[in-house]
Amino acid sequence: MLEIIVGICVLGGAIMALGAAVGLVRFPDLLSRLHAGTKPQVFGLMMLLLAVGLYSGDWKLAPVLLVALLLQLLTIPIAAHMMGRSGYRNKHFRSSDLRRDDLREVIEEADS
Amino acid sequence: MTAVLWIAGIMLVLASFGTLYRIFRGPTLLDRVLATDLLLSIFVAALCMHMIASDSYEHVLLLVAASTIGFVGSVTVARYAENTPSGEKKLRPSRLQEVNKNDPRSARRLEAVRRQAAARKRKNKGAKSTRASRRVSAGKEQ
Amino acid sequence: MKSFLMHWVPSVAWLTFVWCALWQDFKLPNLAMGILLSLLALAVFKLPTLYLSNHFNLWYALKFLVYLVWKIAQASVQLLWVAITFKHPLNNSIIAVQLRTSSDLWITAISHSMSVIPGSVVVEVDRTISVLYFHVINTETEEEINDFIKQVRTVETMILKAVGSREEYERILDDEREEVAL
Repeated sequence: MLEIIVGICVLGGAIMALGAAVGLVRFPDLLSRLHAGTKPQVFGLMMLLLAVGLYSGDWKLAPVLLVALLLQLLTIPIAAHMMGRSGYRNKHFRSSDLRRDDLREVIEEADS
Repeated sequence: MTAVLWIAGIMLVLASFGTLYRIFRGPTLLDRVLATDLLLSIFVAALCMHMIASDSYEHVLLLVAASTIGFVGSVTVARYAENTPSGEKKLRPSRLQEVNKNDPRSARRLEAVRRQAAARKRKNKGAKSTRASRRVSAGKEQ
Repeated sequence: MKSFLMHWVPSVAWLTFVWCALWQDFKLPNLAMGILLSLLALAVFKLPTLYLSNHFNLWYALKFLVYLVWKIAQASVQLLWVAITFKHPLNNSIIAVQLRTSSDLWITAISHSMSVIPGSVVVEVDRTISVLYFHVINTETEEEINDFIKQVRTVETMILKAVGSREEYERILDDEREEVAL
């Protein structure tokens, strides 16, 4: 029974990684690829760490895996935010893609 | 269990091919940084699967270290990212660059670059005057 | 004495937990070493004081955690689906959302939660008026934009109910009463 759950978690993690790479290849510009490259990563790593914890059956590993998970959870959004901010300010996107852009007027007003 | 690990391993290999494509192709610096971060994450996933396959949990600390280092690297590069896409060459005639005046193509290119620089200067001068006038009028209001 | 407890105990506890977890050893000598090292680190690298409110509601915190994990799972699958099957003009938007809180820590918590839930990335934070600018993927209609703004409001409500200070908690309850009355 435990083996089945571990197998499902491992497959889930690998599918998430593959999906992230597919998104990275297919999306048209930087800001969309940012979504594809950072979000499925979090969930896939969560599932893989759960698989490792369940398979080992050792209580000593649980705190380390928890610390690894929390560090990932805290740092991935910060990296995504920095890259998004830098990408938006340096105009690495096509303005035809954006349907509604609340930020442009604010930045133009601040710059001038 | 081994069948599951084989399938998952093949999926990770395909994912890393995808990221390598993006590192090669990505028109800006930030695309490449993002793909490198994802490659590091795939490495962490592969390490987890190796721990399951060989039933030895010695390298758990490496998970923590790898994610921290990946984060620090991508944030540092994103801080200093620049404006231009890398495939495009900007031809700026420098003083050291000699232009063959007899070659019509290079003369035309030089002419086009000079015209663009003059247009940019005119636009900056026009924008500067409105910025200055706005500041003056705002000062008068206060 | 009370301020010492409020501001130092959470940090020392967290650092000691990380130390003991990395050594995989929770026995007394290692614990003591962890406490000593964390006190040393906090004394040498001074950080500005963190104004935590002394109001922690366990039930709402657990509810928020379950909601977060469920949203992460659901939206990751949705993102995979969009990545595999989308037709080329992909419509994204940048949406500005006004928050009701003005404390550093809760704004950070809200941005983190919204960035971890797939579908949105925080592009810019306007700290003086507490406005967050999100970049959202795949917004075809106006309805989806409004749904997104509602989702941000829900996340903010749950976080503030769990750990907000007294005024923010009362403000949230007032807003809820208004919404029910409408």
